[in-house]
Amino acid sequence: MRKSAGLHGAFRQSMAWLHTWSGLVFSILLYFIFVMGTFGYFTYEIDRWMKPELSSPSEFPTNESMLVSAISYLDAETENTRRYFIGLPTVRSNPSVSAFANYNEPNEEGDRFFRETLDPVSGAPVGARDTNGGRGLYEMHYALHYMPYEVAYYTVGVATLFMFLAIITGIVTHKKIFVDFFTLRLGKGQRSWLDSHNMTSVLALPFMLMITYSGLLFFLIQYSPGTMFLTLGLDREAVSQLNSHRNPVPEIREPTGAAAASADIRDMMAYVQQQWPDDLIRGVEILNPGEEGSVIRIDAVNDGISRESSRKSIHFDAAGQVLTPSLQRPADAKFLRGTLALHEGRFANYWLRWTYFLSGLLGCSMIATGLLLWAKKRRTQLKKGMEAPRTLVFIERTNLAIIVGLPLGVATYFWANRLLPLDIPERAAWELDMLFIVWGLSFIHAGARELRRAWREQVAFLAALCLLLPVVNALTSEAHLGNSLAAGDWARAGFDLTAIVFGLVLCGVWPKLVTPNANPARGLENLVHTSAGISAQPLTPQSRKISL
Amino acid sequence: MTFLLGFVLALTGMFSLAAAQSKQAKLLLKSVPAGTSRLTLIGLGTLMLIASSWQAVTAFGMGVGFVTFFSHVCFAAWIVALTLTRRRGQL
Repeated sequence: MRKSAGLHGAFRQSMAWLHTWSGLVFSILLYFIFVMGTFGYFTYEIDRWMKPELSSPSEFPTNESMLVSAISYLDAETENTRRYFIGLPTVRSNPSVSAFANYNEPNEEGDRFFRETLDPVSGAPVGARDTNGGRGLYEMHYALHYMPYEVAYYTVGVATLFMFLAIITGIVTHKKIFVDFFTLRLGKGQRSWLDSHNMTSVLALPFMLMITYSGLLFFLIQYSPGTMFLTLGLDREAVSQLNSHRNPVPEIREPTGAAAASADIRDMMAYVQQQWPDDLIRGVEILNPGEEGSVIRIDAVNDGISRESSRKSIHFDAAGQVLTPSLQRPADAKFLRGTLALHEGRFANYWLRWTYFLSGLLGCSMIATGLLLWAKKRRTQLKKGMEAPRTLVFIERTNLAIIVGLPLGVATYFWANRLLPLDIPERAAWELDMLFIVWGLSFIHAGARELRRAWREQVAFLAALCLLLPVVNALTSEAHLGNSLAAGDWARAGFDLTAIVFGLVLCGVWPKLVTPNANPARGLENLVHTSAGISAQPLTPQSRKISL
Repeated sequence: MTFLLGFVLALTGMFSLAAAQSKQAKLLLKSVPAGTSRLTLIGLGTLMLIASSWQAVTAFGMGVGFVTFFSHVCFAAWIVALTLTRRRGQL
């Protein structure tokens, strides 16, 4: 009996060790992924706020008329193209039409594609500012930044794998998962951080498991190079076939160059709408536009996970004949797309989208509390009067720059969107650069200042950036809170209101960080003490010595 | 409204399950429920969670319904946890 209990204990201990280190090794990257991914749930809304030039029409023209005017626009503005793509406004997307064309060869300016945002009513270019918008943040959660795409998704993949391991070992380690289900004891030092870490993890456990597992499936083929090599070798053609199997397209004839009039696209749209009356037509792709062998694909979206997994398409030839009436994705592709829809919440209405967003924030908190707990635990293990090792001091300071510094960078990204001159070259890239510059500065600040002060200053700065964001918006654009509320434009109004709420929450936290001699039984003052390495007690010369 | 109904059911379920635990009951009900009352609370909590999942699946379909149900349970549990923390005088 005793032997069995010992084994049990040793197993838990091993799992606890694995949980700590698998979570810690990639914690900075995972925090970055979670923060950026969380913003991804409101990509379109952030896009909308970051392009204040976009109008808010109360009534849209029909899809057919928006599409016809977008095709006419591309016909007039581009030549020698092999592909058009026209994105139509759907419920969440920007209320604008996106017109995109790929050239056969780079044009005189060296551009390979042409892109313009069109006003849905007039069909004329909107002239929106150059910005990466919400998509810039969302893409960084898997493609990172300043590094090749291939390196990024392998790095993110390894980090995700470690996260998955940390979650599973965390479940095994947690002895009283049901008894402690609702337990959050504040003001008890290390115990409080453990409770907070457990709460954020356990209560959002279905989300955490789903998001990490589906995140791994995202790059299933790229993450299985061995299997790919053993089954398909180095045959690029076979890999290409695999991709076409996942996303089937009808056989497309080589462009002949012979001009041919296309059948009326309105009839094709009517056919698609007849097939899927409950769905929205999201976009139209035209391959080899205006030529004999052109193929028109019309995409529709629905709000379900499993029903054809969000997006489905019908292809037509130039004469308007349906090319593949039963062009269905194979079962594995349906499964994979369903999983991706689950990961990205593509089907989510606003209520559910907010719960996705809040769950993402819980994920961020889980990582942040884990980082703070690790440092706190090491700090409490120090003997009285013992100086903290340099690595611990470094980690405590890094924790601040990660946990508060990254949101500071994101807030700066939004400020840069409004304050950078509209005509500077590479404006969109500069917005993102500003994010990383400010994040970098937060590391320097955390290292240079006394840690407790650094916490207070960074939190206060972040609160100010959030609270003043709607003010900057009002001073620099017509799309301010007053106008967006009056127009019922909840995407823009929601952004400003969320910034205010974040600012107010930070203002609520701030006083709890500033009272060095506060009652240790209350509040979050332990956060500062944790980071400063001071236990919850009045500052003494000795405790100062410990902290710094 | 449909979304809110499922959430209220989940919240009632989570409060009932929390009240069935002696540790939490002291804070929520000021007393630990006796055997029968405890079983009733567990039964009520389970029933409410089943009702919440059924309501979500009926309203949104199998796929979206289950995602909705899990989000209801997660945030209902958060509200219960924060209520208990407040009762302890720590929030």
